[in-house]
Amino acid sequence: MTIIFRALRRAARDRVARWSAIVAFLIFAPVYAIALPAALTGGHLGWVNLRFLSVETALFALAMSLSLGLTVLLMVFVLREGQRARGTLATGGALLGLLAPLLCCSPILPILFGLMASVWPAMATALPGPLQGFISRHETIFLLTALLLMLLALYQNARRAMQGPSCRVG
Amino acid sequence: MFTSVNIFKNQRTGPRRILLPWLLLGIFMIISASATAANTPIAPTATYTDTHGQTVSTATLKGHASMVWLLSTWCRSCSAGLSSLNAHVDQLRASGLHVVILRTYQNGGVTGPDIASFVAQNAPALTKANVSLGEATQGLGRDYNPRHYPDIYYLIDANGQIRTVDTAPSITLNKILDFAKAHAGESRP
Repeated sequence: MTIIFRALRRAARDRVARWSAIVAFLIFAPVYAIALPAALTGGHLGWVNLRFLSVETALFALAMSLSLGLTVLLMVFVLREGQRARGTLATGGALLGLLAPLLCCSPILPILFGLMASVWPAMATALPGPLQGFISRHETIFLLTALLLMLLALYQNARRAMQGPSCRVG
Repeated sequence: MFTSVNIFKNQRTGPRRILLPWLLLGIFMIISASATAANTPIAPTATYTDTHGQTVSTATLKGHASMVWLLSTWCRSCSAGLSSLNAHVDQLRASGLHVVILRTYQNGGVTGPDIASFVAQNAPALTKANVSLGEATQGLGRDYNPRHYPDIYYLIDANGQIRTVDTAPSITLNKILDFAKAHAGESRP
């Protein structure tokens, strides 16, 4: 935990990294505020989804956009220090956080199952319901996992940031 | 030399690996947007089982403007949709729209509450409107929901013509209310 705070303090002194983080947060906050209630709107994405934002989903949206913003801060700083940033976990977490509410109650999975059945006839008897039902019932666990992945990405990049510069860029 | 290799690695592992999953997500969105196209103008005749265990034919809907909604009782957009209908129960009742709410055949392969308790839990006032509840038969599922959507509804006019096919009444409620208003009084004995 301490290493994250120390790395963030250090990275925040870099103007480019700081602005990248602010821009990332300003992009991700509305994206998650719209995407997380999508389970209640049948996968529809739009400003109307904000009407369905609960306290729980608002907190998830804030936590996810904040951790992604801070990860971007560290990644940009690490890159400018000439080191290799770690983006896989952050991307995985970001996508999981978006896909879980989108897949549970929308027509996406039924259509994908239909497309797969046209390629592999053995899939014709497979129902998308059990998978969608599983996602729907465990959505909170999916969102917590997504958040955990984002926090792990934050930690990984904090460790990189504290390793010091290989070659200062800019 | 060492640092230039590191920078090269950053370029190689950066944008392409990060962009690909977002591209796939974009394809998902396009599929989702194109998922609700109507496919037949005349409502097929099929049967469902009402809450008293009686078999009812959709042919009985002819002569009434109706909404046939197939939902799964594990589906969160369905509970949100019921709450939205519940909030506009007076408008629905005044329009005379016949609302038929059916649980998808075998609930889409997932265990869950029966249709009566699901509606009672999420839309207790809805019984004041002209509402019928039931379970879709396999045949009705095949005709009205061949792709096994967890949430799909049809707006059907008094002549049995399908006017709208859509999902999620939680955000498409205006379409339903507009249809109900436009076809109010269309019902004939």
